[in-house]
Amino acid sequence: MTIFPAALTRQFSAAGDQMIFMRAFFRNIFRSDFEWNELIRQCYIIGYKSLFLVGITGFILGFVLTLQSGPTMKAFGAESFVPGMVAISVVREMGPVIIALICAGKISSGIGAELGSMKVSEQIDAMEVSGANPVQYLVVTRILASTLMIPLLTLMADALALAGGFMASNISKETSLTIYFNKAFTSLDFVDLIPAVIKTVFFGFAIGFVGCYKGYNSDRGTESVGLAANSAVVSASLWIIVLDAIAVQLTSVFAYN
Amino acid sequence: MDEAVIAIRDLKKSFGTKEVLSGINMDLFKGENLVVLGKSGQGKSVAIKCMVGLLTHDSGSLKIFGKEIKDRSEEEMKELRIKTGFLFQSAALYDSMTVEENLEFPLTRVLKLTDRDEIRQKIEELLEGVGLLDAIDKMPSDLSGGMRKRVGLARTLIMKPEIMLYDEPTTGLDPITSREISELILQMQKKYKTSSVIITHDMECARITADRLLVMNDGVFVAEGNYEQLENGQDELVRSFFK
Amino acid sequence: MKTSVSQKIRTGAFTVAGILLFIAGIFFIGAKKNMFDHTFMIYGTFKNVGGLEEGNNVRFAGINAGTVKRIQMLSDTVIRIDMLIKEKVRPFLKVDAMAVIGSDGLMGDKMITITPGSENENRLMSDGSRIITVNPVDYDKVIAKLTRVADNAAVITGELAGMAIKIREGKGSIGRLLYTDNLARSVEGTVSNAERITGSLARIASQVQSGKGSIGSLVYTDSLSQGLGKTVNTANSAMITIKEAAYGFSENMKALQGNFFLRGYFKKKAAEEEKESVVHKAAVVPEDVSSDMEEKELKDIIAEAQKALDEKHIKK
Repeated sequence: MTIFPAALTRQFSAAGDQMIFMRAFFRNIFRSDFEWNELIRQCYIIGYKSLFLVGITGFILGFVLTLQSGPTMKAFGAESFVPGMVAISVVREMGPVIIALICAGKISSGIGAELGSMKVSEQIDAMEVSGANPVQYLVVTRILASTLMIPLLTLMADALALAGGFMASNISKETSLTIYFNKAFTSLDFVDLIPAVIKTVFFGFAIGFVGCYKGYNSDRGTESVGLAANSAVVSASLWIIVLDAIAVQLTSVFAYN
Repeated sequence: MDEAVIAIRDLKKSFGTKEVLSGINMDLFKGENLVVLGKSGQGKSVAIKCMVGLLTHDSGSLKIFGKEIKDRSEEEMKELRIKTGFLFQSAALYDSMTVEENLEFPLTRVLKLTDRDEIRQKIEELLEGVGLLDAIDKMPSDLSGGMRKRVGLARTLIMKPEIMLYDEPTTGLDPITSREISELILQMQKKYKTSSVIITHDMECARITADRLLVMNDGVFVAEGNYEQLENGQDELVRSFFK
Repeated sequence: MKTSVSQKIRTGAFTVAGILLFIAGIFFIGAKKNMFDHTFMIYGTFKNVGGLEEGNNVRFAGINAGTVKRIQMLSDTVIRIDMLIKEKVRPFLKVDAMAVIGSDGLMGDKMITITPGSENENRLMSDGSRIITVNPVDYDKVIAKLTRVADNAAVITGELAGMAIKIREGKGSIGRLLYTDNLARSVEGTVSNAERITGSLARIASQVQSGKGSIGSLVYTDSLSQGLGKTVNTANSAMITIKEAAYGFSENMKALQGNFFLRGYFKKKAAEEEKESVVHKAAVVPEDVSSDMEEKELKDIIAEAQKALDEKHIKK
């Protein structure tokens, strides 16, 4: 027995439980009778319905970043680097992480609460007892939808952030759209875009997975629905930060060298 | 006597250190309505959930259609679940779907039906059977508790199960609705010729539906018999249900 | 819940828009990396690529004309660099163009700079051509050299500093010159002396002009020239006297020689006094004399006379 047997056992069993859940998810992806309709519906909910929130966030992100960095860069006489700097910081880091955190708040909690309430009201059990596959119907579609949609949302947010940046730089001085985007894209490289997109795929997976796991494994009782939603947001946000740190390390090892 | 469709021998189940089922023995024979009586928290729901594999028992034997439930493969388990209907206490309607979609869900996903007309016809037949044909496009949140139970029953019966398991079908309903549901259960049992296990503490329901009763206390069955036998029995505990 | 048609359409539009954005991003970035331009490949070999990396820019006459596609080590001293060059610059890329590895600013990326070929070269590079290369400056060596220069500079400046200190302290001639007052004073004195000298020189000049003083009289007084004329005359007459004396001397010598014989010397002398003018000439023209004497005797006498004359001249 270890020093903290109870706590450790709980942690290990939780980790093991998540691994089993993940295995169930992967085994159910490639099963026949894939729930295409439900996947599209989830893509609609996760992707399309989040577009407004994500778009506003992205636009303001670029806008604020440009306005904030403008005076500093001006002091160094490097005002012409602002579009490039905003583009790089948004595409590489700010866009993926901030959009993922926003989506953790919106999507992870939504999935957690939805599946949590389904669990509490025995809908998941009912599905299972009827011979249907709740993991395939509920979990696979949601995780896949979030894995697919978060990168797209991030790309849209990136684009809108550049638009926001253009608007911000247009307030202080006249810049043509072509010059702005030319500068922004000249400073961008594939090692900025591609690892960032790959990163968002993992963020999306984390958001969907944590939301589904917390909801699917919530206890009975109504308060556990709120708990599931809350802990889904907390865990998903934590996972995003941790994954980002790992991604940055991997990117700097493999891509920038 | 026919062979038992469900045969339980010395079934035990504990949660942590708390033993909920301490060795139960039960047989369900083909075509009978078996009512399990017991106070709340005595392990009735646990027993019924073990029967469909929602919970896994710790020890003992649980044979359904002559085959041990633990020995079944995933595919065999699915077959068993098609043959077994389960009506949840809360009806467990999928609240993101309409009534029609609720009924359609097992048809398309489990029975893999693709013919729209056949599906529609089956749904209408079942809804008519429970008297809710006009609620076909409603969302579960728009339905009353009794209506939800009926839809839940229809959704379970649409699979034409051989065994029906009812988890407290009348709990939370007013007495009139309770009687309606009880009568519906009996009616459906006659119509689809199912073998049923009905868990309840509602004596009205038991009286209407029961061919045979079992009384559970502290994780074991303490009495068995038909309604009249138990009503006139000497056991204090059993008699307390009939008051 | 069933997925409605409008949901499907919206989801589809959303997905397509997202994918299009991704493709657009890739395209825009790739456009800057020549990925979608028509390109051709040329290569060059270097001994040292100085940290060049795949994907670095290739500039032709200052224009971004391509990228480094591959860096391949053929041996420890031969590194082959494949470059993808835009088709657009091909009409200007002559075979004698030269590739150099440089860097974009002091801190910037490494890159290859291609300098255009000569004007009268007409052949152009083709796909797979080899380009002439110039090995890059080894910055380590440059830095080593610069370090030595800096060391020397340090020594020099150190010495200069020492010198400056000494100068300040007034040591050495420059120091004294710059910082010591008595030198300045003596310089001042020199200057005033010089002034006085020039003043007196001016006066001397004016005196010379007015004929005062010896130089003045030398230059400007006629009496001196007259004196000089007299002196010349005197010298002339002295010369004559000397000549006469020389003649007398030679006569004496003859007489002396004649004494050896004592025969009618005075007879001869008396007889010859009549012919004095002729004898005078005879002293100048020895042939005339020789008529009277033996040749050898005469020569001896003349040599003696000349010797005596020279001695006399020197004494003068």
